[in-house]
Amino acid sequence: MNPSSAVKSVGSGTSLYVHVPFCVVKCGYCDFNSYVVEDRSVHDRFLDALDAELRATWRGREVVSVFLGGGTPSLLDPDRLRRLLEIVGRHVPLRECAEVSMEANPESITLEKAIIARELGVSRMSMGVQSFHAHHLKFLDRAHSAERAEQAFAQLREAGFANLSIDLMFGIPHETCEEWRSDLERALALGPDHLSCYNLTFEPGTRLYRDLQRDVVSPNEQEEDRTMFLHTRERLAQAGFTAYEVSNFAGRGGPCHHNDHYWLQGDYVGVGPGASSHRAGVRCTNLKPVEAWANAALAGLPCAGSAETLRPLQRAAEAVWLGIRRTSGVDLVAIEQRLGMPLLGLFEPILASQLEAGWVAFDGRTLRLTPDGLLMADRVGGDFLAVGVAR
Amino acid sequence: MTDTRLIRNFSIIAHVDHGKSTLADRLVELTGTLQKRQMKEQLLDDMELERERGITIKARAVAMNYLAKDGITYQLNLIDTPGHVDFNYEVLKSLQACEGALLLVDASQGVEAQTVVNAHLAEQAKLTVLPVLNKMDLPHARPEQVAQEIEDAICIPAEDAIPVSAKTGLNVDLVLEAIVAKIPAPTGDPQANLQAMIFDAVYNDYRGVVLFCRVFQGTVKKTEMIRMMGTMTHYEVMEVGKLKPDMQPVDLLHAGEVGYIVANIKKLQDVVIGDTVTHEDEKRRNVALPGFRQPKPMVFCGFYPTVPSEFENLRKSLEKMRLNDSSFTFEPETSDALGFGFRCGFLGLLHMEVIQQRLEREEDMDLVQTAPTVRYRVKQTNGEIKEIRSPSELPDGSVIEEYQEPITHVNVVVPAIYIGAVMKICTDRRGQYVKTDYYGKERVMIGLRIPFAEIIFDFHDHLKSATRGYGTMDYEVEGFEASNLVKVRILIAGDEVDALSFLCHKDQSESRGRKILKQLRKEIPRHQFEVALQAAIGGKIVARESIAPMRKDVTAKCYGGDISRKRKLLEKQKEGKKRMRQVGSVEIPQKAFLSVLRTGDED
Ligand SMILES: Nc1nc2c(ncn2[C@@H]2O[C@H](COP(=O)(O)OP(=O)(O)OP(=O)(O)O)[C@@H](O)[C@H]2O)c(=O)[nH]1
Ligand SMILES: C[S@@+](CC[C@H](N)C(=O)[O-])C[C@H]1O[C@@H](n2cnc3c(N)ncnc32)[C@H](O)[C@@H]1O
Ligand code: SF4
Ligand SMILES: [Mg+2]
Repeated sequence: MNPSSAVKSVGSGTSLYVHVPFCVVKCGYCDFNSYVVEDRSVHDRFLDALDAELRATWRGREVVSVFLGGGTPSLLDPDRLRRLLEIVGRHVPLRECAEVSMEANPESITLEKAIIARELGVSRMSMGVQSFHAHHLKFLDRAHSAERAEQAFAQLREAGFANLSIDLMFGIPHETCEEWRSDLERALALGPDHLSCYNLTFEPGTRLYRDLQRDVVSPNEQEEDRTMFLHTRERLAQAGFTAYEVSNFAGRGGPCHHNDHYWLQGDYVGVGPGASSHRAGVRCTNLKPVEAWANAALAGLPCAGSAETLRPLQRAAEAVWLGIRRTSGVDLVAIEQRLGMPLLGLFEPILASQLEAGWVAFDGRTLRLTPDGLLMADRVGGDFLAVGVAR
Repeated sequence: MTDTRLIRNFSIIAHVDHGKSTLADRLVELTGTLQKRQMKEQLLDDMELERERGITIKARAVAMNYLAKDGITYQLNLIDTPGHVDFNYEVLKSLQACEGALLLVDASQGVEAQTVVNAHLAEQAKLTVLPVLNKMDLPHARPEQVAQEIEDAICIPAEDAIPVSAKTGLNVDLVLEAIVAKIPAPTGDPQANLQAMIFDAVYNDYRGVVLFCRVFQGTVKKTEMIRMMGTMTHYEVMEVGKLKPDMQPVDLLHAGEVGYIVANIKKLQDVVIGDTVTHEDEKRRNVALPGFRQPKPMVFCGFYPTVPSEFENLRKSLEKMRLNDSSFTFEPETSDALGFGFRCGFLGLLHMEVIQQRLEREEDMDLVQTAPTVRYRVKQTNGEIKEIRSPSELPDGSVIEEYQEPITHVNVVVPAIYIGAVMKICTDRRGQYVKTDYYGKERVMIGLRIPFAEIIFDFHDHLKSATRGYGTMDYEVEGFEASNLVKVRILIAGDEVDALSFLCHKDQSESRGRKILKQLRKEIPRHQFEVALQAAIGGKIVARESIAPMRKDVTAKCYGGDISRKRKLLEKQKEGKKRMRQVGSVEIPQKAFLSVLRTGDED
């Protein structure tokens, strides 16, 4: 099966992202817009504001996919989770939508919540497991054990989910290749339908990043990250998974169309604090603090805190950078047509040097990374982005 | 015309952060020079850098009218000065324009190193010094003890020092009255021939060089022809005025006053700070004033334009900067790695940083800066002494008889309990103990002799942390002494990079070489191949490091909300790459040339 064939051509329809900004703890590596909020009345206010924002922004578009992410959507208690899905369902008929994903964390998902989600139209669950090693989970500040993650996975199956994904992380400081191999095996043993395996990134603003700057932690050797990265692709291929993007692997469940839609520069609406939207080269991001966002939403004001408009060439360069991370590559001719501008000439010099370095392959239409190029995807993508900046 | 007897010219001097600029605010406010709504904190610190750093860098003058309790209106010309050692030249110049000085001392901190230095400068300039105790609103204020410290350290009576709070305004009216009562009026004669001293200047694209002057004798007004005596140039006056604190034109500046002169001066070289202005007409000329002692820069570094074609523009910017700050110097130099640039001299490291940032902001220059070094010397076999401001100036080893390094006298003021801690730092830095003076019972001033190279980098930080922030210091270069110096060369992928080589004491050469390589290892990005880093003394490699080749360069995660940010990051990295310097096949970021600086104490 070609996993990307299922993706509708870009421009048709809009995806919806719903951001739930609460977590049980703030993980040391995480720079997502999430907060530890005990006060349940804030959850209610969040839901009220979400309703208001959806009413103001969604307005009956044709929906491609829905993603309920976070933060930790599964942390909402059963009644509130139900209300969340009802609110969203009022604007978007969830059960008719091809893909409705939700993120769940092992420490907060329960069979009861899983059943509610299933009933109200969630078709795909993605659970953050990150590691099966207690000391790594601790290092990452995760609020659950490996066993709890396995149990939670079973509960999701029990609730009837046929499409389950697991998030894992490798390259955690002091992690050995052996440990990572065993994590992969333990994840595979659960029989997931999709896997995301992310190399740990030190993101500015996180606890881990500060530790790095203060020399309290040191990153792993690049050589080891590389070994783990390559092992992941090899092992998952063997297990029947298709690597359709740098960090994403499709099993029986196919790729995550929602993410693919992002990478194909599709339009999407993001609701909730700090959520981003994109429409035809205009990207905007909502206010981040829950209160500021909720105040704006409830007052019927625009929730965006920042916006940028890409120039056409910048858009084209971005399309290459985002698209080239996908295994099926970027169709440069299609981008030319979509954006109505000639590109091949502009990209010519970059293309020539990339081809010479052996990082890309080009058949006159589709540009793909070679196995060597895959490991240098930022370098390759960065070169294209630079073309977009130059003019 | 204001009667000269009704003028008072004074500077505010103090240690860093004792509240000079804040007191200036209160004086400006209380005299009604500005309306309340025009006020902001530290009003006179209007340079972007000053506001960011919360310190005064340039002295600033302001003219105020004050209706005193005796019913008479006086003209007060205030000059707010910086407190940091590196800007001492600003204080020196300001004092020449005044008859009196307010010596401000933080009533909780007490006398500190710069308090002593600045007070001595004021005494040397024969000014009347009025002690003022500031920050009386703080619970830890201890006015009696601090007054005692002033008497012990500076030998001026301090029992009637005025206790004030520049923050709340407490007793600031008493300060104004004391200025009127105790600071002498200027003595110049308005009928005499013009004699005015240029104590500062700034270049303005439309008006040319604006001269800031203190008029000592005579008067000056619009349309008169003036002559600058040192440069022997003449110009027609377009405007004269006062600083309130913005420039406000007046008809006439006369003896005793402080103000500005605009004369459409487009040639920067015609203006020398400290020069005397008189009339061009021979019958109306006066004699030149003594001028200032030019400070001698002791810290040097190279400034290179990021883009080589900007060399001439950099020269112009440096000329403008020098007009506004004559305590720094520059001369062209070349480097194999960096091309054409300038060797610049400064009074200290903060001074260097400030000039560099002003060039980047005010002049929009993009600079590569090389690591700073102190001024060394070598005695050659023919007896000649050669000054070494850059390792590339070293003569051939065969003609060097002796290396010499500058030695400073350092005064450290601390509570007595930290004497031991200060001694420890001193011995760690090849220093010698000289003497101790007590101020009151608990505070001491410790005199030390330490090689300058040991104090410019992080001595101050160490002192602060070893004394819980209480220690303050001041230093002065005393002379040169023979020293065992070596040149450490840095090689990247086998090529020597001249801009990274440095001179230092032999005992420290290896460890510093190692530290620099470690730093370079962090600063130079990975390449597709392994990059070797080496430090060598003579032909011998004393340290090595390597940068492993790039094996993986791919972002793990790129989700919808992250696209803008990640894209901008990569775009920025690309931009940064364009600005790297190529040495052989290795690309070196501009920042790496400063590695020698960041070798603090991580081991
Ligand atoms: N509590 C209190 N704080 C004060 C007082 N006067 C000044 N400060 C504070 O002390 C700090 C330094 O004040 P400045 O006026 O900038 O000091 P300065 O002497 O001009 O400093 P430099 O020009 O950098 O030497 C600021 O944070 C002021 O707000 C005072 O009377 N009481
Ligand atoms: C939206 S996040 C968090 C979802 C969910 N709250 C959780 O913690 O599982 C989705 C995934 O991104 C990955 N991730 C987050 N921060 C990361 C980082 N700094 N480096 C690599 N992966 C990261 C984690 O695998 C995480 O599961
Ligand atoms: S990783 Fe997940 S659980 Fe942890 S702080 Fe981020 S969003 Fe919350
Ligand atoms: Mg100040």
